[in-house]
Amino acid sequence: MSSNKEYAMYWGCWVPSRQPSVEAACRKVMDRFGIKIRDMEGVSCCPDPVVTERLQREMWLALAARNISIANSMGMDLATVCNGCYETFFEAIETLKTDETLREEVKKILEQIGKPLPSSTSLKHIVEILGQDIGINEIKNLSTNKLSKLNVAVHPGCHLFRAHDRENVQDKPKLFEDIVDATGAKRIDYGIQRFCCGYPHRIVKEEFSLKTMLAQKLKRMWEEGVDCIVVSCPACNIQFEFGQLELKRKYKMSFGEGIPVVHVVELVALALGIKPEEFGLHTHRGPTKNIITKMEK
Amino acid sequence: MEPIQERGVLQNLRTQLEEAIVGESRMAPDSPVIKVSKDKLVDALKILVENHNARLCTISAVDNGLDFELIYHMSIKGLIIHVKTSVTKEESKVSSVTGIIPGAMTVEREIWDLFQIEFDGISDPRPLTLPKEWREDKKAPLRKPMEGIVAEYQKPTVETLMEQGQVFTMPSTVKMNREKMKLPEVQTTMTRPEALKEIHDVAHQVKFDEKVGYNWDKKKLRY
Repeated sequence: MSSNKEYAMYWGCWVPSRQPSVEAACRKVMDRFGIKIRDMEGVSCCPDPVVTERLQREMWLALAARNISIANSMGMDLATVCNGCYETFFEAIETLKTDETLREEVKKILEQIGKPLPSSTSLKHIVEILGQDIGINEIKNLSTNKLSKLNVAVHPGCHLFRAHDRENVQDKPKLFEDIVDATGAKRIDYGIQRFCCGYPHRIVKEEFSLKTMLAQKLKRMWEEGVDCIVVSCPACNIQFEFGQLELKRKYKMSFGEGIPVVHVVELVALALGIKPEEFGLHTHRGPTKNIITKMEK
Repeated sequence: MEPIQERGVLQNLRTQLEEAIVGESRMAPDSPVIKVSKDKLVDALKILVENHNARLCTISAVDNGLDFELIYHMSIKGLIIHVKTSVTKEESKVSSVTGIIPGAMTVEREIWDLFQIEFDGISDPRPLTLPKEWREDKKAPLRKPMEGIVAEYQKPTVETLMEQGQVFTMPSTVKMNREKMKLPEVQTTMTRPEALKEIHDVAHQVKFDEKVGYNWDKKKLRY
């Protein structure tokens, strides 16, 4: 399939330096569907919507605007595979549209570093690219139907619920579920999909984040016989993956030999028949080999 | 609009101090504040005393956690001008103004006792308000612990952001995995010094470095 779609891909901090398999899977899946993704030269952290924005909004907004400006200079819309980066750019684009004072301030700051204020940039989460640009039916049609024995729990993550006034907050999470269904995997309802994974609490109070937030979700998933967790955010991925290792080490809490975690784009890659070793599925810290054994030959 | 007398005084300060004036504001509509760099503090007060017959009302010391603020309240025929300067907590030292305003001595001694700010060249360095052993035990009662706005858990994020523009470093194992997967080179501020410079320029412009208390030489927060 070929497409005229072309995106300036913002990989963020997590994916290139912690989860390269997500980047590799995304490149292969986009290539398979004819969507061109271009790397963005000289981008910084988005910056993160938790620490930097709370410390100084001007710094956070100026750096976000600089990143968006780079996408603008490439003449493309901005895309991301991370919920946190999506939240930052979503909020920054809205702020630059609606807050005249901050817009003027950021304009002056960017001028000093030789960058123009970004204009009319659209932002897309990878879930929107998969579900809308490519389409649920297209994914379904090209899926090799090898995942039908894989029971998956979806975790959309909090920032995927970010929506414009004209949208329903459930639109993107629903799209996320539809993509998972289109891969042929069996989506298990464990009741608390909307519940936060606890990642943001981790840096403040680790025990609360792991025992109260994360373990609750894992327990429900485990009870429902889930083989694999599917996320749309690298931070949630880290929380589920490393969190399980820490729950075991620090609090003697474990769920079998661990529930493997993949990004939705990795699940799509598997559904399309892209070999796990081609995008480095084994580089995850969780037991992703269990996903492969569940796949039909 | 500045009244005639005030305008003349401020203009004189601006002309003589030029770049040494790092900020201007107002404490009240008729009460201007001139912020000067620490090394020009004595020069600023000298201008007011010698050119405008100003007298010192008092000196206020404020502990902002990372830095002290010293405010010299000067009176010129009813006009109150506040000359402000910052003193870093690491240094906690500033020039005494007793050379030009002998009466400043008691206030400087009191501030030294209560905040442990040393006044270099003070005419009489004895403790004033506290017993001698307080100063020896370094227990300045109004001096706060060294702290800034960045909480302990936020520090790695801020320091890594300032050092490389990204909030995570690239471990060698991931670098190796990237090569095996034939992923392209990362083109972020991590590998593009000219792009990182832009991030630093932005931090300077919006005074993020000052706000969070970042030490550019040590590439660390000051606390």
